[in-house]
Amino acid sequence: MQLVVGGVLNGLSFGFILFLVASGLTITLGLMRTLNLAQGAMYMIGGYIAWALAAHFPGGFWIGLLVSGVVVTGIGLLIDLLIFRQLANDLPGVILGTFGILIILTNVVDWVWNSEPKGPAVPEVLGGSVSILGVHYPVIRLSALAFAGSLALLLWFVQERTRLGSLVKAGVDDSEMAQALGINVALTGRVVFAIAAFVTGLSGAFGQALTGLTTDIGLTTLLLALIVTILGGLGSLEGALVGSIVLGLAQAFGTVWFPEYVAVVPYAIMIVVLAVRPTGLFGKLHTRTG
Amino acid sequence: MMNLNRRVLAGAVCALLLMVACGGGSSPQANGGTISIGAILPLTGPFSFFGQIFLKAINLRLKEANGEVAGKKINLIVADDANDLTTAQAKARELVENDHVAALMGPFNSSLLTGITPYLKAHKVPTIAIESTPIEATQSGWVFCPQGDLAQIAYPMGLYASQVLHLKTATLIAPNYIAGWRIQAGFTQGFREGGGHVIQAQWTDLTTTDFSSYISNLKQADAVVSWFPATEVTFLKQLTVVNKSKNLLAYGNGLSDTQMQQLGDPSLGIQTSIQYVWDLNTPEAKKFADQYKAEYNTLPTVQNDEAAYEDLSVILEALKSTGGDTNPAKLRSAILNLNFKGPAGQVSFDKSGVGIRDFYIVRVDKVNGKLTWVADKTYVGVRPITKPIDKDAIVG
Repeated sequence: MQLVVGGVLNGLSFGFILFLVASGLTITLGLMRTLNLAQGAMYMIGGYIAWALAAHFPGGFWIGLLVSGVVVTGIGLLIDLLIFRQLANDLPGVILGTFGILIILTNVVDWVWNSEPKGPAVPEVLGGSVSILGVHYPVIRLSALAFAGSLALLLWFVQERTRLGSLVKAGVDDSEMAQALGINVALTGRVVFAIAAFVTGLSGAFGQALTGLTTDIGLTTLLLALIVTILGGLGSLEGALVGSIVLGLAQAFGTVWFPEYVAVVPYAIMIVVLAVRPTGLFGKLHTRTG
Repeated sequence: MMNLNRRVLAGAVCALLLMVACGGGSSPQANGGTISIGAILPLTGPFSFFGQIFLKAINLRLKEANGEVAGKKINLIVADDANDLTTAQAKARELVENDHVAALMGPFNSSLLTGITPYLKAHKVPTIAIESTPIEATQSGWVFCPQGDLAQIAYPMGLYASQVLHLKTATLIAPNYIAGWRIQAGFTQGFREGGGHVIQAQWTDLTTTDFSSYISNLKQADAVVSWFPATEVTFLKQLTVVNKSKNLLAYGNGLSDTQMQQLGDPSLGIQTSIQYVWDLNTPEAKKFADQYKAEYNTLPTVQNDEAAYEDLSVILEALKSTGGDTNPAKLRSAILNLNFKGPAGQVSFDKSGVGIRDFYIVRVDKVNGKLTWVADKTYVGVRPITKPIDKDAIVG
């Protein structure tokens, strides 16, 4: 029973943090038809900024959340200005450009903070553990679950209950038709990308308190976010959420049940899902007419 | 005229043969008055932090030697393996075939070292493992490990845990690759000799930083014994929140001084077995610590810098004893016969090229308000573990 409780909580807390990173990736891909390979690096930058503040200043964790969000939004706007706008309709160019940003930011992190792995910087108030059905569980992970879960709910609300969300859905479904109806899909995409960048910064800031930081966390996070995006279906927030939770739970239980093979679990799940449903769990098949 | 030409030609051939005969006794690596020494270090990638530490220590040792040995100038050539086997192999080839190095240090990653060992053996290049390595890497006869093999480091910890701390059960966790298996095998051997037994062994992905599932899966035991070459602090931070085990045992370079401060008071009482701590009470240790502080304005780390400093010392001491002769067989023999005192204590080798050395059981304690390693016990002259317990036989 304790194993199950621990596994579910571990899987969900990791899954929700992963969702926040993947949500930006999937919406950008679905709406702007562009792939931001710097997404993982943006998560990493958010993490390092928050870590630096949390590890060295009282109350730094909470300030770090905000600062991370703002800084990563700034990086996102720069990426939009320097890459997306300059290389519009040039997907290979965007892929190379954003991958270059990933490498640059990884080296910046190495230069500023050196490559020694950093332990999680947890605020004292979230530093203990609580007993849940006989399992001593870290408060920080429960907090991450609550925090990321709330953000996920907020994102869903924006998508389902606001005009911006309607514009996003229209753009994802059929950007040409949306454009023809007077929706500025490009501008909508930019606004959404900025929001996604802010959320990614926040997720990095909270994520570092769970797993600490290494200089390759940008790349490893990107890989997982890509898998979630493909698994869930391009442009689908629901898909990204379900995909993240499936991946999180699979890793949490896979670690215990088949530890030798846990590294391949995400890829195996992706292959199985794509074999059965090539558009992903919630992806839609876009067909050309006329 | 024809006779003169033949005589000139014969003379030239004789002179050529004479030069070859005289040059045949010395290695092409000694180019006049210069000896090239190579170092393959992880200057980029996940172990780059260690790579920078090694480089600093190697440069310090070179400076101490005034850049020369046995009257010859040392040409140190550093290559970055980026923690990648293909890159390490390419760098080894460059250093050996293009730069004609007399000896090599590194790579740091045991898997990379094991991967290039066949090449080193085929080309007879004396190579010093930067840190402890699986015993298999030294079986080629051309890889030397002054830091001891991995099982050897952990063996004193196992003895100490069972015989001094009187612990009976242990749960182990380490990355799932040869270095992790060997280090836990060493602990298990020492622990069993003292009457303890391992009830669980978990093997993680090398790059994981989310240990929550492994921690949830920990069985109740007298001790939790971990080793993560880079992410020990992350594991311990996650562990100490939920697991109040009094006996946390770790190894070697697992927890740096900076990371200890990051971990804070939860690190108090953590114990490890290690080849070196900076405050050993010997003239050699004090000299090294003072030199390091003067050069880099900080004290040496737990062990990594002393290891690299000692590794270059091995090569230099061997070259001193051959009088600068870089003939591979002579150099190899000189290394095996070395017996000198370094900052960590006496350095000598067994016949397979693995160091016979002292190990120190140290514990995290507060000294003048600062967390630091404090030595508890010394195990003198620990010999290599030539047949480590198989990974699948550790539990039980």
